[in-house]
Amino acid sequence: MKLKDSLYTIVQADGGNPMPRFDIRLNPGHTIYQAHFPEQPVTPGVCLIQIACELLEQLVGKRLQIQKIKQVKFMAVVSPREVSTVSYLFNKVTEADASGAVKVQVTISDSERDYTTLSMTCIPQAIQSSL
Amino acid sequence: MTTLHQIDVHELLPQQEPFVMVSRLTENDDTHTTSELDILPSNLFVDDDCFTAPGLIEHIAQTCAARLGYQNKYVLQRPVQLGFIGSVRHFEVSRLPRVGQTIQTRIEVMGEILGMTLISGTTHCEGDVVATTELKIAIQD
Repeated sequence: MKLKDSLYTIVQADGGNPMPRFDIRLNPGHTIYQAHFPEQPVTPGVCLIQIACELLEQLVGKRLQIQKIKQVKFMAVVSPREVSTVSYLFNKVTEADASGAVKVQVTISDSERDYTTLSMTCIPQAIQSSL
Repeated sequence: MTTLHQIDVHELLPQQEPFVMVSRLTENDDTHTTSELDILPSNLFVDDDCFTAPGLIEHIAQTCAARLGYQNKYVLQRPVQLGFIGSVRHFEVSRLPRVGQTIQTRIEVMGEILGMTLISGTTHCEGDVVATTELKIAIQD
């Protein structure tokens, strides 16, 4: 399931070099928030990771999937009751080689704090389905 | 003593459907826990018939959550606590499981300190390793 236009919407996209940035608005009414967790909605860390992959797809213009995560740190929880909009800043985007692999470093933040830092490699989806 | 296969995993997890990514616990001892997940078409992390990487990470994290839930409920006799992923390191996926398959995960507890549990996890599907990672899980008091 794609989370775009369901768990979040893009309110501003700046594909500029060298550091593309997306501002997204979270949808506090989403089913995920009733399940994670009842009475204490928190954006699941894995959804924050998936959103990074979806935004990267938009940036490079192809379907991607996560192959490797070097490291993700979740420094503060993103609760939709307290945080409505966060920014995904792509500090580094490297299209590695002919395989089409893309390496990224992303920071998720708002004006108050950094919530998450993420360093991962995504590959085109076609490679996976041919295995 | 309640045996593992008699336990509804929902009793052990703070997450509710549709965000439950473990179908059952299969083994649990001092340092290891194993679990299974049946990948249903309705699973939130299914995309194009494949169970995606974020789903695999959540499944491994919830294997740890179910372990902690079991300790709370059946050993310490206290309520299940909320837990969050604090960090993910060295996650690697070799192929994505498909709808209709069942995946098996084994986690090993590497350390427990100050409400944080550090685990390493390996997920198998039909005999092959499909994902490995290290996670830090933070428990809320």
